[in-house]
Amino acid sequence: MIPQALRDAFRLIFEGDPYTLSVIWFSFKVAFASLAIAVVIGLPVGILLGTTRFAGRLGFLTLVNAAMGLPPVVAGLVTFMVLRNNGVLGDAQLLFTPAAMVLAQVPLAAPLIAGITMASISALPAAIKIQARGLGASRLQEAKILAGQARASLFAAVIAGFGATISEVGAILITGGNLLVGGKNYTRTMTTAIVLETRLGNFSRAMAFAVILLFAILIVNILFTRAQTAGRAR
Amino acid sequence: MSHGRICPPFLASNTFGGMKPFVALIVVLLGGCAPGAASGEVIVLASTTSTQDSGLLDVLTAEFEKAHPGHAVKVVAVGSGEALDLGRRGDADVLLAHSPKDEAKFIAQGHGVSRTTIMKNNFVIAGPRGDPSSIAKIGDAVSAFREIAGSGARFISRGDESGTHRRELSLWEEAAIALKGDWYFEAGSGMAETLVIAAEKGAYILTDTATLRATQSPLAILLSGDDTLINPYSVIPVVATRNRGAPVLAQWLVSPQARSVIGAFGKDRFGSSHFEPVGP
Amino acid sequence: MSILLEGAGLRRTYRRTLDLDVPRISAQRGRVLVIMGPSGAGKSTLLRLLALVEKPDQGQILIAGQPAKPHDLKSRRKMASAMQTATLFRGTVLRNVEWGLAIRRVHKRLRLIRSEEALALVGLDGFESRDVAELSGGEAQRVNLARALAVQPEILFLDEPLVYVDETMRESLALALRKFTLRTSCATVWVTHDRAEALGMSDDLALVSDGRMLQQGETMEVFTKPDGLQAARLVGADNVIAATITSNDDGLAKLKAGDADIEATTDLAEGTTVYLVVRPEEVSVWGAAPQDSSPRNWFKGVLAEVISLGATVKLRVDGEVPLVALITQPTFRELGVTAGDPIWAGFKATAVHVMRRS
Repeated sequence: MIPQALRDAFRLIFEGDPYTLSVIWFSFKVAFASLAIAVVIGLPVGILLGTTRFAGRLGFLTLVNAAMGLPPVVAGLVTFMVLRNNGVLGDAQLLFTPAAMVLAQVPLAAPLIAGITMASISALPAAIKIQARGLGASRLQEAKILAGQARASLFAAVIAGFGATISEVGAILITGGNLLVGGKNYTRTMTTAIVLETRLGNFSRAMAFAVILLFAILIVNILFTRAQTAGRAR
Repeated sequence: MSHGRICPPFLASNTFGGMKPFVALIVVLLGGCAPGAASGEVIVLASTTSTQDSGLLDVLTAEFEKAHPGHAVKVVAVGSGEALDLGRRGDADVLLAHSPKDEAKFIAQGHGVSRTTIMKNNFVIAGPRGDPSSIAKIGDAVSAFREIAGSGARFISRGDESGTHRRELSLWEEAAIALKGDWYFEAGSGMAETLVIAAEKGAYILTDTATLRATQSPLAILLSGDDTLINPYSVIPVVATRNRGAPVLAQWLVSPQARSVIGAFGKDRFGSSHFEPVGP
Repeated sequence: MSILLEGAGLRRTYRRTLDLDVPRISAQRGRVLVIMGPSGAGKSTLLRLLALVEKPDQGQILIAGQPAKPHDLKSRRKMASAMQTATLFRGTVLRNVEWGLAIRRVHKRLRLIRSEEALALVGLDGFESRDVAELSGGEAQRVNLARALAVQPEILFLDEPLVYVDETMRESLALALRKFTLRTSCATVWVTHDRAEALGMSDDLALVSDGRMLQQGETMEVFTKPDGLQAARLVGADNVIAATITSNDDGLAKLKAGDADIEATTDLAEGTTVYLVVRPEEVSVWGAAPQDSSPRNWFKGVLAEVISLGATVKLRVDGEVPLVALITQPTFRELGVTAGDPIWAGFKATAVHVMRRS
């Protein structure tokens, strides 16, 4: 059955099946959009937690660590409750749209990135921070050089974040609705498409999507890893 | 549901091909299969998600097992299309479907012994309370569908090849509407979930009243009573079965006892019965 | 005398113990201040406080008379430091050396020029495009140094800058750093535990031990007149003799150390109990009793130990007044003595530093 799935997968891609291609493209769009927001939030927070002692740091750090274990469906549920018509942001009419899916994944990826970044930065020898300050660096410049020194680990944080967003199912199913609009893909990703096809008993289609998803993850990680290991340090 | 244990249908099919022994091992480990189970007392009834969701099947199978101890029923709830597929492959012994056209084809192809309608319920067109396309005034479903498409109002389909979905598609076909355009949504999920999306999006939807009530949906019933919306459920014993209990179940389902169970179902909770028994 | 950098009332507590207590320390423009002391004395801590990299628990830092807050960027931009372990950033040597200028938004061309100058100063011409991962320990430390020099700061901090540098390069590099200080008129604060380095390179000397400031002043002052036993030990004044002033005639005092009579110049009064500090270099030795009376103080003893220090020789003399002398190898050879031989050792009255003894 797996060889058949592989054949189906290649056929769907190389024949340019529009539904399949749009599902693949959409999956990446959602995953990278969430990842981008999560990086913008998580990276600075992680650096801050790793370098500065401030009141309440320990409490905040505990929160970040706990949030790394946040069940994705809970994130999806909370996002759903906030975005629904009766919810706080109901007027924005964002539920069952791609935006809702992107939003739901941010609380899953951001703490992950922040937590790993924090651990990497604080594992750096204190001498780097001290030397940077001793040369007249501002807070921001200090953070930049620390991030540069912990480059490989920060990449690991981003890779982990990507892993979380590309493989997410529950949260985006709840907030996206797995919809087609006008016959075209609207909120279906590879993961939610697998759920649908499995439910309908279209096992070979489901397996095809699974194979494509795995390949896609592999390719992205090859690129990430190459970037991560470029250059050497002392 | 059922008291006995039975290997799920796919073990008897070719779905997993060469991986069957491996899959069988996993299924056994997960407790899904009692060793030594074979076609015997346990009967596989394939039916639709809507009947399962309403809870009727639980009641029916319980009553059957009381009346015929020594027989057990395992319900597999899938869409009508899938149910017919199971029957075609012999993975199910008795079918309870609500997709008349496909059922007729099924019988014509010789997969089913007979077709007996035992109950019906009605689809309705539900939608936002404000009824933006004013379909409440329209008398028949096909015209209503035409009006919805014409006005560009949102409509959401189950999109899961279920009986409800197929009925919806046949109505679109009769109305000669092409399902392109940003107004037509497909969810690929069950009735309850699709109703939630409909409520959020303010969309029209073809639904049964049971699920509408059960989910306490804010949507209003805007069009009902049209003959095209009648949804008959029929029992079809499968030709390919070797289960000796299958005819017993099929017989019971078309009996007056079954019909009175159907008729009584839901009365205590919702005031009126969900399903109308049909026949003598 | 222009005091550029001052630390006043600096204190730091670590786990309930006062681990740094320096009432006052200052560095002047165009001069090298060396902070010297044994390992773990708190020198590096003091340097970090002065460089505004860490906050003291009490006290303040003043730059040109104005108090400077620890995180005040403007003040920190006037400084550059080369910390103890060379912490270089990933990338090329140039990237590191120009970093201090890059964060100050200096133009690329100027950065290159200054970096090249700094690298030339530390003897690493042409190293610009080398990757830091390829450098040896000594080279890395010199890059570390160049990185601070390129900034041409008003205040330069160096923490053990020459520790991994080859012996052959050490002297020339130290000299180059002195010249740099004079040329740019910066105040250089230099931390070391190496006595020779401290004495050779500094204009001002601060002695720190156990987190306490023992003495600060012009190097020669501190060197010849250490204030206290600990200070004396630190500057290598190996001869410390307990004595009492028996008489003082217009600055020339007679003292008694046990049974020995000693003469020394001091203003302290008769009856004062003192320590007499004599540097080993000031002690002369003879194979026989000296005939002329040029050294006022001389004593007979036995050569207890001969310690060869390369170009010099340390002699430990036991006797009435135990002394340590430091003489050159040629002089030692001329003497022709060995351990166990009788020997005479002595010093001038003016070579004695008299310290009050409590």
